[in-house]
Amino acid sequence: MTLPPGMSQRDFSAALRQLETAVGKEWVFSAPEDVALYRDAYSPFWDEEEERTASAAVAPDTVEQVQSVMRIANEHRIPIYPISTGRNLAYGGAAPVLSGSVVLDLKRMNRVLEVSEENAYALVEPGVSYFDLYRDIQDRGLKLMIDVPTPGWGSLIGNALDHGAGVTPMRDHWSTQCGMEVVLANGDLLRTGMGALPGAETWQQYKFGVGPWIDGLFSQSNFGVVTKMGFWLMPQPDAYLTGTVVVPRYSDLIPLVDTLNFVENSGVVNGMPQLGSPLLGGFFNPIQSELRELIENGASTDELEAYARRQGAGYWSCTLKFYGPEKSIAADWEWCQDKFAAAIPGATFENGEQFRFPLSTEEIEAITRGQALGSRNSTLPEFGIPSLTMFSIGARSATNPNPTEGHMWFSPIIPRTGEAIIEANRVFSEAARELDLPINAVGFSLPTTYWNRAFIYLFGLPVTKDIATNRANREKFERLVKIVAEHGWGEYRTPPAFQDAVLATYSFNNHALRRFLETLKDAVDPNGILGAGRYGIWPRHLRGGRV
Amino acid sequence: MPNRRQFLELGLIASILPGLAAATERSPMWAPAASFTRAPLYKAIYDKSYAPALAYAAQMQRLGVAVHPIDGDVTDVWFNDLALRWRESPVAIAGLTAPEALFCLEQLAWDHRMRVVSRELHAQRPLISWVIAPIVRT
Repeated sequence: MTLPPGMSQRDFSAALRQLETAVGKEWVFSAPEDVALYRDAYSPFWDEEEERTASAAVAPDTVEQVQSVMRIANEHRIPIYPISTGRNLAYGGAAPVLSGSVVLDLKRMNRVLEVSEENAYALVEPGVSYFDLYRDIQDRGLKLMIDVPTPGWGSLIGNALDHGAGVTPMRDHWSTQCGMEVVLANGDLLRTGMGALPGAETWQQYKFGVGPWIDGLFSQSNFGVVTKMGFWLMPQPDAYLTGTVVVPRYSDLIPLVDTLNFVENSGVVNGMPQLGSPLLGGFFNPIQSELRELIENGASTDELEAYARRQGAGYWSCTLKFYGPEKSIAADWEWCQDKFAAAIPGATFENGEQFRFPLSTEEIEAITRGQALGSRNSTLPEFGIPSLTMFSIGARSATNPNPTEGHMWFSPIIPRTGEAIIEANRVFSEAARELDLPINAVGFSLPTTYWNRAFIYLFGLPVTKDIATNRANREKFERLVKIVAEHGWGEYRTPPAFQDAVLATYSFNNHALRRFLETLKDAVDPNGILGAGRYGIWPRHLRGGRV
Repeated sequence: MPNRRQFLELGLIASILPGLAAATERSPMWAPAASFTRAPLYKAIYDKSYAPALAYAAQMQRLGVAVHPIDGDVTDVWFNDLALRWRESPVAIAGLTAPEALFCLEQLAWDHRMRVVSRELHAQRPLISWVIAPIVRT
């Protein structure tokens, strides 16, 4: 049995008994077969000595019980690691950063506390999943749309705290949070924004309250346990429309991105755009052998453009997605076509899909089938419908004969320019060759567009059950972190195995950020009991010799 | 498998486990034990893309077990069926599916104090035969 660092079995047993008194005996888990459920299924340390494992888990049902857990943890100096639903796969799952921590499992706190249709917000507890909130809204017939990540089984609060994203106009989950309740490490209870005002009637309507806006301190951190959070939702739109811009030349990537930025930052395109290229293929449509041969033989840009012309396919594409009144979004798409046509000679346009909300059962079924078959059309999340389909997409199939056993996301943020995409690809290709990594397999990758103001690359580095392979891949991951940092790019989110390495790259002025976070940590959690090591923030007694 | 501290809440499940073991390479087409006529299972889930799974479903139906097809994806059976049923009380399910479907259902079952109590590779890869059942502490 794993024990909290430096703690005897006897003392730990005494602490567990106190936790049982606080939350009920049946909600404290210390048997190995129960604690094993808190392993990270995608751990890159699987079955190694260094694998981060819990000593026990405790599952409170109320805020008061969370406060009691904090007080007991302080009394016994037990490290506590909060999780919402523990489904943050590829970024850590349910496992703690520090082995021996007691997982504070908040899944029983799964109440949808309030949903306002008129003001389009919800107030939820950490155990509420996207499926739960979707069901609540559907059951009550509210005309609201939620934004869901893929997969949709995770916690709204957990995902927002980790800066997760979806695909609709409300896809920046952290930006849509409005007001939170937090149990601090000492057991004190704090409400942020307007929630600090007793009897506040606008907790989920105005984020800032008065004074410093501190909500960000509780994201990707270990300064408190978030027990409630408000979210802004979107009124169910009338309609959804997609349209695709296709441009003929390699160099068109630069005006394509510039124009995309313009139409998004103007507020005209509100869904998540999708950059693509007929030359890159995809998971379900591997590139043609002629093209592969050209790429492998180091084809010039001219040769690739000629190939694209022969295929009548263009070099780059960008699918725009619009939500709103039917007539308005049709006009928005027309306006966008004018902008792209003016900026890029030879740009062509394809009308895409059109749906009216609410979708019919038949439409949902058709979208689900298309998604499972790898259709390039819109998927359930585009309509605010949670799903687990992505797991079946990754399953063994004719186009994916050797599915991985898991992955860890390497996810750097780069500037939102065409030039940056080209430079990033040069860097990634070089790194792939140096590290023998399966990224940029066809020589070029396009970023994801979760956010209007920056691009993000998502590379899933494989996790296996083979220790030697995992060790090698961890070293490669750490090397990638350094390589991108050397180019001024940083990761937006990372698995626990690399959180120290990533925070170390945010090193401006002799790690002023980390020093500030540690100062805060020492002030609000002097015993260092909460979330030790999360995102590289360690309590004083676990910092070792580092200054 | 449950350890000595646990027992299967639905005792009849235990009696079919040897039958499930027959779904291994030794017997590609699983035939549930003949004695398994009063099925304690809430539902059997099968992946309709695989012929052995279709046969499995037919046999389960003959034995009076409700079946639910999936096409790799468990979203529908989870959201429209199991999530609602398990919210009332945990009940056992079985299946013949790809591992990814089991991976999802296993994780979801944990939240309802259920465990995979049998997991056998089928001769036709990647199919896997499994049972998820409630456990209680002794």
